[in-house]
Amino acid sequence: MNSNFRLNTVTLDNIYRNRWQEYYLANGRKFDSREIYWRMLPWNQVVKIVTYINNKKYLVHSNHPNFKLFVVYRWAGYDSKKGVINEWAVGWSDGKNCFMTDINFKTGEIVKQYIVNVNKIKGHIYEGNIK
Amino acid sequence: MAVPTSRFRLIPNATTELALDTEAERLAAIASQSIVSTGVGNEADFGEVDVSDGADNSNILTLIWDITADGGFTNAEQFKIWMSSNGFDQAGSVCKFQALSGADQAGAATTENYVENAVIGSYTWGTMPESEPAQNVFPSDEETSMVLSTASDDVIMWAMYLAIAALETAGTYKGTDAGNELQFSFKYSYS
Repeated sequence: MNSNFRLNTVTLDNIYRNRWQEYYLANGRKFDSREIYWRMLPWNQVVKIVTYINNKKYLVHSNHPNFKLFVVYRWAGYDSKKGVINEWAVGWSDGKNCFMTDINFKTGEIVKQYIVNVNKIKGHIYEGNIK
Repeated sequence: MAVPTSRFRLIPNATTELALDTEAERLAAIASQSIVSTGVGNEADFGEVDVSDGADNSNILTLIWDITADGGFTNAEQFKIWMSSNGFDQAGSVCKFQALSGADQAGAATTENYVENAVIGSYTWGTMPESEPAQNVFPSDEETSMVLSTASDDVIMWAMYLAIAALETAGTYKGTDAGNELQFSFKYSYS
């Protein structure tokens, strides 16, 4: 008898204390990054992302008239003036530019808000998050 | 999800071009490589510069950065390097750098091919920014991003040296030493 078994393991945001994202769908359902791997989300149905870091809460919605897709990525590295870089970036795109907010993972404070051309982050855009 | 883990490696300038002309070779251990720390100890050492007779340059260093564990993420991009701390008193004292690829990248555009035993004339150097820039280093396969699958599918490789101006204040420049700081920053995005 042949059998197959495949076990995929991914870490979720449940490894963190008080840091996660919630994804709200148009039909009212809600997903939580502590319970679901981000690539499994039905991104074309997401209408709102709420980011929680250290008791601070940030909302990004799809109500903008030129909204095309959500953009979510994270930053890492080392800055000699700030120490270890660990930031969550959330925003949306009109298909040409992305309107982003970087949030300090430790403090929950906004690090910066900026506009980045979608071509600069095209590796972070995939079919699933285009509405 | 866990932040990806990465490493910085310093490789000998005598490393042959043939030893770096495939992605697999750049990702594997390179003969006599050393891991460069982000704290005290195992720093990348530019050597000694003598400006008593005028401006001079340090040794050239060749460094490689890659991701060793993806943390469940699949892509990395927006790679940035800058000289975030320095105690130089002369405006003319700067760090010069150039992103590198292997000889497998004919017609390199965002990088230049690695040269064995490089000298100042081997590359077209740019001045390293002193505050966070837009992407200024690129994977050595000439892509703008890296695919992550356990580890990255290639590396970021660059050469750099210090161009020290005449009349620069003498001393040992390192880390967070007050007045003589010397530190670099590296940042990337991932998803």
